[in-house]
Amino acid sequence: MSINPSIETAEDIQIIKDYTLLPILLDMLARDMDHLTIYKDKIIYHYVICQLRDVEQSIYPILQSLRNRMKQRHITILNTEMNTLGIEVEYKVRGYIHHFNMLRGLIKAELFTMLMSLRGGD
Amino acid sequence: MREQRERVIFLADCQSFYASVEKVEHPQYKDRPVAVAGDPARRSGIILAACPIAKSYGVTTAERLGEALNKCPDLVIMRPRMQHYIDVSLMITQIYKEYTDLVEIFSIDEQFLDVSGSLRMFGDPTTMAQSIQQKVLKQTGVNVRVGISSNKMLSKIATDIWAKKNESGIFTLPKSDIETLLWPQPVNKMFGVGSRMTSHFLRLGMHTIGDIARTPLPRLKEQFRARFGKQSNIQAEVMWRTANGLDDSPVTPGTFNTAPKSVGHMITLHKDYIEMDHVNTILLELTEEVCRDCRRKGYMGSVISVSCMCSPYEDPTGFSRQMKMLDPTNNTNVVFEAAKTLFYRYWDTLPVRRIGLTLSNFASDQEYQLTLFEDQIKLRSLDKVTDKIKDRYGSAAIIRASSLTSSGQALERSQKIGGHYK
Repeated sequence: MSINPSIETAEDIQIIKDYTLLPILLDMLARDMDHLTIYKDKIIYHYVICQLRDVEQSIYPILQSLRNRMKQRHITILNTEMNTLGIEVEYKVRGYIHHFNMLRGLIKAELFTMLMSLRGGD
Repeated sequence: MREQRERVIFLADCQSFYASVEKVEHPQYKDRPVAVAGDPARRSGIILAACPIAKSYGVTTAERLGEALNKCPDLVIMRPRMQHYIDVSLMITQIYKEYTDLVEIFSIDEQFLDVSGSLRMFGDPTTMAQSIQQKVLKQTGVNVRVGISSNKMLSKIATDIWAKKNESGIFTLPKSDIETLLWPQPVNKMFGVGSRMTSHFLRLGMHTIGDIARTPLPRLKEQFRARFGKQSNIQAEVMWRTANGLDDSPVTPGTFNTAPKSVGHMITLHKDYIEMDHVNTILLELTEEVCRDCRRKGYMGSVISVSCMCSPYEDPTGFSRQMKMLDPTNNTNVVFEAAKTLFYRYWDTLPVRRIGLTLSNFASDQEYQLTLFEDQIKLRSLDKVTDKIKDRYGSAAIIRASSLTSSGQALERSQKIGGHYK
């Protein structure tokens, strides 16, 4: 942990980033699985849905672990807002308020990278 | 009495800004050479930014797309998205503002930060610079290099010469070390010295930055006067102060909020324009843009300037002339008539390659001279409503009929910012 409480460490920022992106990924997965259920009688689609469900299930423990780490590091999310440009998160690290913003293009790219790593891809 | 502390100024520079933004948003090209260039579909234009991998193949900024592809056939070319880069740049500025309120935008990918007052909060300058690097990287995927010194000039030099080249991307250049670090550097590495100025300095026998710094200022001014004429005293002093690391200018957050001295637009045409009708179309489009900008800022101009460059491109001829109008105005039709008068007074009918139009000598548009023969209220309302439509639905939502002819450029220009795609 940082000696100076007002400075966020790289780990703090990464936690916030993951904790912001993972719920979006969950929403995305739920929506896409819902779309795919129309074709669930087809074996390939059924296989894809199973895969996605596995990915979805693997996210919950990660979120739980992030929550624990946030508690240890005295990180609290105060407000999360989606707007036309992207996402804005207001949070507190060891008593100091910070902001984390991400544009839509980057969110999309990060979600793709995250999905690939969750399913053990490159 | 309180001892005056030395300022701590950062110059934060984004590495291959446009290319980094594109690369991070296209993870499939992570390990491939990527460049942002004019118009990949037409295979024309220049390289606006190249990622470090592309640079390792010898691809450089501002070179022609064809040349870059010859050097690196695998190069992934991406079309620029200027509005997006502006959004990312503003977001990065916002991150800097979490560390200090004194942030001055120097360019789309460079900002000055005066962190003298924030050090008590964040620790030493290097720790603070590292924290900034981390935050920008996580939020935008862009690498930031930080030059640290006691004034803007030295921090810029610290970034350009050292921070951009080292592993950490951070370099501190204390004022006390300029003699040992900066002065041995060749003159072409000095900020504000390009290839032509380098050859001038070499002819004056000055090979290193130290040579300039050690020359007494009156002597340098004398040498500049002999080479560049009477008006070069200021230039000599700027060079001498840069070489000595002297810069008292503050970091000013509102640099771009000052009232403009002039508003102008210029267009380089894709082909030669010979017919008067074609030239008029372009003049009207430029007038529309200039007047719209003036109306948005709340100014009326009383001096109009028109510049023109005629073919051939290698040996161009042309003119740049100005005239005072009867009353200050920002009305498109009035300015267009003045622009035509001025243009045709000096145009020698040679094929036109580039046209520019500028309004200056501003007055507020809240007070204006009424005339007996024009319904100014009606004209102003018409401009106002056209502007509102354009602001809401885009510049191409309402255009002059002449812009729909083959010579019109308004539709294509509406898709661009500063000559590059939005």
